[in-house]
Amino acid sequence: METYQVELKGAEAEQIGCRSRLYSLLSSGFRFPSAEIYEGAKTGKFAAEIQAVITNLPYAGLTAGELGRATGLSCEEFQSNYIGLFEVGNNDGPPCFLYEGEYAGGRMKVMEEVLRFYHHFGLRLSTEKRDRPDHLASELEFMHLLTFKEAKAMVDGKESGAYLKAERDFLRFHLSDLLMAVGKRVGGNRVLFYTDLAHLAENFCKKELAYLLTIGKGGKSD
Amino acid sequence: MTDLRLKLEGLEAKEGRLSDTSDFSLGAVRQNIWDWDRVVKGSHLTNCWYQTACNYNIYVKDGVVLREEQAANYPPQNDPLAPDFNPRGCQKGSCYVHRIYDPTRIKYPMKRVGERGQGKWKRISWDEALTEVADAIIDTATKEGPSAIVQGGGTRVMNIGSEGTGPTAFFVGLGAPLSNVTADNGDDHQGVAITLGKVIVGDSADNWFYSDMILIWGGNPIYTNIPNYHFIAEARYNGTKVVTISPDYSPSAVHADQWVPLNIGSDAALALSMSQVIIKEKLFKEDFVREQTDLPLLVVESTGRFLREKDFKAGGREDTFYFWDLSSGKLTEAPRKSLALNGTIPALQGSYKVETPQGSVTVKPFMEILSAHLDRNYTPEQAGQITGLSSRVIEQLAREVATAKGVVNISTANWGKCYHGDLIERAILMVFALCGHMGRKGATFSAFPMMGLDTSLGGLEKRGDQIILSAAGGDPRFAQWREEGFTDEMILYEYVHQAFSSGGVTPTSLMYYIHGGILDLCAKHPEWDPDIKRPIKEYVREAFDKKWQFLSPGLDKEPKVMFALGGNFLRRARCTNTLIETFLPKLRLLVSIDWRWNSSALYADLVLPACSWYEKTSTFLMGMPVQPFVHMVNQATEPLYDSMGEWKMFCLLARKVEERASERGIPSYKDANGVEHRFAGLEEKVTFGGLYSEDDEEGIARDAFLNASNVEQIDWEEFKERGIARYTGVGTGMRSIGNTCDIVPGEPVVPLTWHTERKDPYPTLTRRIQFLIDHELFRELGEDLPVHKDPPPAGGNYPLKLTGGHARWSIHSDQVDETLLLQLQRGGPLMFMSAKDALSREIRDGDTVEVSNDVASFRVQAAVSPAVRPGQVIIYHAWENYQFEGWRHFKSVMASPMNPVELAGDYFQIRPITMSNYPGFSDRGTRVEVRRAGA
Repeated sequence: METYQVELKGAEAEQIGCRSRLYSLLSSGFRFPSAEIYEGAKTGKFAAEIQAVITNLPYAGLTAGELGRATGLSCEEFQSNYIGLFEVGNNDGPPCFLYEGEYAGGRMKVMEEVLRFYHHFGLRLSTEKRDRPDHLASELEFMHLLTFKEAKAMVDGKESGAYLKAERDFLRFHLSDLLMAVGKRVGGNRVLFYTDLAHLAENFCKKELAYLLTIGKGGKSD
Repeated sequence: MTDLRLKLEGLEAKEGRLSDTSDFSLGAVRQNIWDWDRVVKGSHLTNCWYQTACNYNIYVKDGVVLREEQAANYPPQNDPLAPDFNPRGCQKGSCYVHRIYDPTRIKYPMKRVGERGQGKWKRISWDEALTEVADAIIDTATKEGPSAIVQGGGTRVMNIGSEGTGPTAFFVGLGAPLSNVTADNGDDHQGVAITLGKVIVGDSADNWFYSDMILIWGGNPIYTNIPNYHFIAEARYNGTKVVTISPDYSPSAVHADQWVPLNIGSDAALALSMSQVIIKEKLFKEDFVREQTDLPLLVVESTGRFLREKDFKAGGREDTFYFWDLSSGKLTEAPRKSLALNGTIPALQGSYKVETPQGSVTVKPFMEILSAHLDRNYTPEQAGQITGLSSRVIEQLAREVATAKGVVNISTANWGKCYHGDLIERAILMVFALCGHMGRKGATFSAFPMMGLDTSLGGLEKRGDQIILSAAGGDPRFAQWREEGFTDEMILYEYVHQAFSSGGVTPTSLMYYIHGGILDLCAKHPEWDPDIKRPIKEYVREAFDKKWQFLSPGLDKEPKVMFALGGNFLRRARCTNTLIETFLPKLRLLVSIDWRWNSSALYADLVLPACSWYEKTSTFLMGMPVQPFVHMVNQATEPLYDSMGEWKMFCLLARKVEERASERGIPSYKDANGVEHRFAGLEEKVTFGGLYSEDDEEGIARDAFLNASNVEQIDWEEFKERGIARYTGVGTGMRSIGNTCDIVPGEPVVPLTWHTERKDPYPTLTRRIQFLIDHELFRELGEDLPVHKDPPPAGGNYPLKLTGGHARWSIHSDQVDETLLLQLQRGGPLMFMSAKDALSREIRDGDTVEVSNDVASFRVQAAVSPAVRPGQVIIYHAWENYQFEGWRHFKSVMASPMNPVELAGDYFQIRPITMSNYPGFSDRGTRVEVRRAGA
């Protein structure tokens, strides 16, 4: 796979870049926590990275919070918490699934529509990961791609309307509702890292949608 | 100025690189008509038994299976008036794609990091997982022997290609026992095994169309035969009378012409009384009875045993019997190699004197004795007291059945779940035999329907179920068997008996009774069976001492490593809590292999992710005569997450066992017979000498299909394309041959015609359909003659009887937590109870109730229904432990006392065999009390 990179020129491009980076960071935060993610959370590096991009977003009101800083959990406990919270039920009941199709609209319908979004932008599911298309991390990753392409189009002087429309519609019809549902389910649990992360992601996407509607570049939804 | 890098992990560019997109319209994205990347034929590798299997088109886009639909490409029947098999499918199969992507899929190898069942897990790599399993196997094989490495039992291990071949070849290669789970399920047909000498007897659904009467007796086909039910409806429109005999106004009773509402567990009394009427009114078919049954065989009046050759001379045969020939007026030896009477006319009545070395003895045809027994105990008036039916209903039913040209039965798998199910089946079989409703088109008795490819795959042919006649090729006993008049069927069964007696196959129900604490529970409660003569453990000890029963590991050992695969033992078995408390602590390692987090996985130590049924290539070894087609499952897409097919999994495990044994310097181990086995070469054994690589599960499915003699001869690619091929015969496999009939494609499958037309003897001691069982244990328990016995108060002296049945909404637990299907019910476990019982307990529909007995208790939602018989409560099966409050599973209350008669052995047809003749679990009629929770 090629490496894609764009040199961000100008304040507006930088802001788009920060939006894109935040989607990417949130996406990695919702994937199964590698030792690297755990260390990042524990040392505060992950929170710092997020805080750094938050400060350059085109809107205010977000804060990274602790995001696992100085957690007393071992890496194994941290990972076990992820499994217990998102993957395998236990005596406390079913976990908080990270798949959009579990919350709204019917699993297959949601999966198909998300797949259609990916398909339209020349994407498919990773043959290595082999996960469902509607996993929260993949949906955030898709937003990372759209904003990356938006930034690149701007830098290259090309039309970015398609990306903006897709960002707005994907947030409106998929990601926002998913994050709201996850936020509700995860909040009652005591795994603070994920409570914080879900809260941040939900607020971020709310602001993103409002922002995209405000700038109106994407035109009418159809 | 900074750089922004695109970081993709879950997504990737389709064509290898990303391109720019200049347009986006949500409407277009949503509405564009898609071209599918692939459409393949597939099916569902679950055991839905009577429904197995259905041909589906599977649609794939971008590596994701998005939908499936019934293929409906079954060919028409030869008779243009007969209904065909289109379309096959049900709501469970039609939402399997939904299950593949269920969030409860097992994604990665997992290791327990908390207590068993606590729900704390750690993701590990395949290499770590296989190393742990391999080490536990090596430790156990060397310390306790391979018999301590067991399977939890599951029917999905019978498929070819992935799910079955790998594990079976691995266990055979290791010298560990294969499991037989039939009586653990309660799917056994002990009464049929006793009477016919076999359990595999089934017709095709189109045969129902040709009957005058369909007796739904012990089944609920509108739930359990969804793809086949249209045959019943079409037969009914064609003039066939449908009669449903069931305690409750079951869903199948709703669509019947007559509902016969009898008391729970009183079916034997009804059948015996019908027999009494049929004999008394001389409505029985004399020719059939004389030729096919043991009713003409002479019985010594003073002993109640058959007259045998050994009664005349020292060293005489135990299995030579006699009748009185009316044409010659002489005592005549009953033919053993054929049922043909060759001009003789066996007497059915009378009393005769026979000279023996001990003097003159009085003998009578068994029919005479049976008739007197029925007149004494089972007149319609007497049976009315037991069944709760009017004597007129019993008489009317008996006359209609006897005078109908053809009657078929639909019993599914109910009787094995009754404590006295064997007695019920023996009695029902008597009705069919008396009336000659066997072995004719539109007149058949069915029990355990099964049809399989008679393929041989290396070492599998002499172990477990996949035993083919070619195994006899080099066997010195073969000639003697033939001399003795053994049919192919009998020879095959000898190999199965041998597999049990050698420890090669072990019954999981007996394993759970002995090693899981359930026998101890039964022993503590002798009051659960007031008819029992001795302590249950004494019967068990006797059965093992006399080598009537076999278990691996035996009584003096414990299982140490268990694979829960192809089934879900902690959902399935009875006394769930007892197993959790008693059985699990004995295990060094419990490995669960499945595609979803089921109850067994949640209690496991290691969980290995198997891929789903659309993610591997397989074909069904286990088919059904109900629909005589073999089905294909094409791999539609790559396995999700880190899952893999069982074939690959067990190839890799075999390799790992060899590696670890070598690294640890442990070359070999000894089995229970002291035979030394080497770890080296295990992978060779599993892969059939390297013939199939770990990535070649399709090769196994292909060769299994192409090497079979009893299926349409089409090439592999055509089979993959079509998804189905017709069976052309029962073949020479143990799993089919009991049907004993020719199969003509396009015609109904009519079992037992080799007996009724070709006059092949039955695989019983008397070589006939046998109703008198003069085995010592049967005599001790008063069950040598067919009798009715009341269901015992299993679970204690409580007023309500818990019954059940297979569910409408799930095949076992495969779909039991499927959100789509739960939306069509009440969303969770449900217990039906009568309005009368609910009212007296102040229970309203929808209330949560506490159900309890001597063994356990659980909570469930009550559904108050006028269709339920007062005194009865019904829970349709397969709810998972975790669906109940506090994981208090409903099967925990199922005391399942061991019926000692099922321990009998060493009596030709009564020896442990695949699917029967060993103690099984029962649950129907478990006694409980119900009260409103919190009341």
